Amino acid sequence: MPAITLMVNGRRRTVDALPDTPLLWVLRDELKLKGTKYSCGMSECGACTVHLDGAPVRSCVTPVSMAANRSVTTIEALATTKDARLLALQAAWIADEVPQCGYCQPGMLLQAAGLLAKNAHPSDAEIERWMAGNLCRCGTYSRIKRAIRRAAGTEAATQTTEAGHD
Amino acid sequence: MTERTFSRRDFLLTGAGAGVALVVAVNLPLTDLAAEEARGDAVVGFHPAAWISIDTDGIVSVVVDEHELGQGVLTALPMIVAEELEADWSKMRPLPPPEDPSTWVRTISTGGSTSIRTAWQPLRNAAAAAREMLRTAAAQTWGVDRAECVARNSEIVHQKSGRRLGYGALVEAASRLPVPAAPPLKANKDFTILGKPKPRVEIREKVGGTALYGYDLDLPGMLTAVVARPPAFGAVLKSVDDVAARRVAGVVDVIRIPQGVAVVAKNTWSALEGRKALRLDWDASPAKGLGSEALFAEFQELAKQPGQVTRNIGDAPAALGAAAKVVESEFFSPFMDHIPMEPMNAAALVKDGKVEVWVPTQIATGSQQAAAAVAGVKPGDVKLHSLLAGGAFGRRLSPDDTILAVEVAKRMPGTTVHVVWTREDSIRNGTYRPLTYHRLRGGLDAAGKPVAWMHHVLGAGAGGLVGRGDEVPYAIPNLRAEIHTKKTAIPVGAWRSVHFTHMGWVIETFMDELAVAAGKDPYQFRRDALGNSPKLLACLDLAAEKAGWGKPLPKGVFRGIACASSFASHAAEVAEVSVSPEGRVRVHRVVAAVHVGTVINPDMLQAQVEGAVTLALSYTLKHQITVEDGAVREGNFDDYPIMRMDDMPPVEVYVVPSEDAPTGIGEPPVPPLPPAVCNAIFAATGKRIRRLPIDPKLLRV
Repeated sequence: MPAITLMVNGRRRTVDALPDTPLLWVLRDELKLKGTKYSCGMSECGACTVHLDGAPVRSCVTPVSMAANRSVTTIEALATTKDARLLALQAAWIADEVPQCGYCQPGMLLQAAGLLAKNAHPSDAEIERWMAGNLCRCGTYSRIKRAIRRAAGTEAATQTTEAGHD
Repeated sequence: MTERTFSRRDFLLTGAGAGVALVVAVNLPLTDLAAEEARGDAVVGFHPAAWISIDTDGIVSVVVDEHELGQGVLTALPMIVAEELEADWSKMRPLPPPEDPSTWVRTISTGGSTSIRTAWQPLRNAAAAAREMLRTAAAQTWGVDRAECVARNSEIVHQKSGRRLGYGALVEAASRLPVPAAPPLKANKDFTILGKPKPRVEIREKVGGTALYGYDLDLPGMLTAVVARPPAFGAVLKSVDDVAARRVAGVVDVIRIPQGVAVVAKNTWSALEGRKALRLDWDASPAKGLGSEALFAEFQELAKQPGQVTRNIGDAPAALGAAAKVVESEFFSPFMDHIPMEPMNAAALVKDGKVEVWVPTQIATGSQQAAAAVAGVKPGDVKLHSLLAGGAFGRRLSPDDTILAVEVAKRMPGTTVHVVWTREDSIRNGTYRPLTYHRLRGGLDAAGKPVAWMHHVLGAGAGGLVGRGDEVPYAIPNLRAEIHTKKTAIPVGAWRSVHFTHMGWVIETFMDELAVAAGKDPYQFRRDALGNSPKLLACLDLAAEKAGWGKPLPKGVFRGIACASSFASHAAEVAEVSVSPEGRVRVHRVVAAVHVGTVINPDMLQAQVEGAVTLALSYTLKHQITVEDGAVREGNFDDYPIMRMDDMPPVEVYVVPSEDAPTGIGEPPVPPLPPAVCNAIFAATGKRIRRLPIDPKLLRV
């Protein structure tokens, strides 16, 4: 099997893999980066979203050969990143208590980071359009939207966790 | 928790008669433990109950013997303990369910919205007993009246002198004291933890990508397998040609198991490529004719004959005959899959008569038993690691994930095999919410009051999954429910809200039809019939009030209302809906009001309602499982779609204030949503939705 070199979270990694192996399985099985999730395998849900040269892609349908000599960012980068946008998103995700089961959230965070990189102050409609390809079965959409607004500074950072309004 | 405490607890629980009723079993270890401690057994820490232990460093460990599926139980149960124990929240540590469920005090199974409802009293009693023992211990240490000693924030404080001792320093003395049988419990008004939002304890892992789910399992020497399953339920494997599959790089073995053919490989992609290269010849003829449409047709015919009567009040046929007005209806409800984001998977290791299983399950006890049966060992010989689950919704109540893993692993003794399912495997080998067909007849008297109600439900599954007729919350003097069940080769199981998923929809849509026939407002019509259900009535009133029932709406937007009591909780919802000329349904707003007694964690409650509404919108508007000749037509999110962010309306959540014992919130907000939407569609279009999911073609102008 040919050796393929990629930059993953700032580190140079060389893997032996067939060129058509999806990046998802290389990240998960070879590099043991399990934060990138498998859910559909056909670019329908976004759970496997990573950044390729800074832009979100679905790693389940991205052949590893396409990532050769390019920069891949996974959710594990959050542990060491200095990227203010990613950190703001993560903090907002905590403030708004976004996750339930949490399985889709790594993909959600990386998809959202891609939005804020292009559009620092997205409208609600822009958020909805950009995030519509990322599925959450637990139903955390409204909180994701709120957290993105919070990270973008377009929502007052009020505590919004009270149940009900009376 | 140390090895020492675990084995000790196992011993105690076994001695106390594990497996008896919850309350007894929980109280028994308390007594037994006290006896043990009184003998001066050299155990570090203080163990006032099997579920709770306090270490000498003051850390309070709570065994959360429920599975964390996203619903927040890992946070909620320690909150109950911390409140009654007067413990510092930062000192609380949830522990996973024990690895040998066979020795635990109760079945480890998370379903039926029961986690909080069943843990509430025993956890509070145990925590209160511990608190009282700590107070006594402090009083004796200081030689003061215990009435002067107050428990507060993991310390006992002697108010007169200002002396204080942390729980950790008191555990040794406390552990020698008798356990109070009926310790005083805190009043709701004194709660400082319960009823206040608390972030989930695993939040950082879940937003940092470090939370590891079943699918993420990575053990030394572990192999990964996928299983080629029959193309139709009941299809029989005639021949296997695995030559090409074995040639795929990374494939280690190809193994026949009763459920199909497993391809075992060094990594997931090799296993998938290997499976693709299998040449399998299946005989699908046994599945011929087995399908959704055939079942609907059969049930329609069968509905003409009487079913098994499951509820009978008054004389419904006679009352119907005497009614001033009669309404007749039928409803079609399909199979559906749970489709949690994490597909099914489990790993197993079989070695020297022992089994180890790693599975993101919601039924540890059942998984252990299933693994034991497949491997031919005793349940106690199966070590069951419950892993974090990426959603469940009832799907993981069936141990078929574990069974598949053990079937493969027992044929490769000494090797850990992780059997992973693709999305397609998961959708096509589900445990579906059963398909049902419903016939209803209702009668109104001259004043428009509902006086007769007959509901015949026919379903492709056991009665508990199909319905019983006791779901009707209204005081109707003559009511009869009949059921017909049919077992097919299509596997069925519990789906979030179980039979209420369809019973709620059918009953509340029909109630709306009766209201219209009576010429009454649907909200008032329900109010008038809810005399025996004050809690549900409170929800209905609150939802109507907050939604502004009866007040003007933007042009083209219409309201629908519905309510249901399920799993000991109550919920009412109002949906605001518009229908485009093309028949596209848009839900603009959902207002939910719930009654769950005492609220444990209001933020998690709100999240559960948001989630339940989202899930219910998905099955109202989007997805169904269609079986044709025994094969499931759908396979992934493209043909089994769920709600997306741009479909979702805002969801408002209101809680009826109550100090009653808490009940569950995971399921009860599901049932009212589909009928609220369908009733709004009727208000908008005059068309009744009789089949889910809604077909936009039927709503075109």
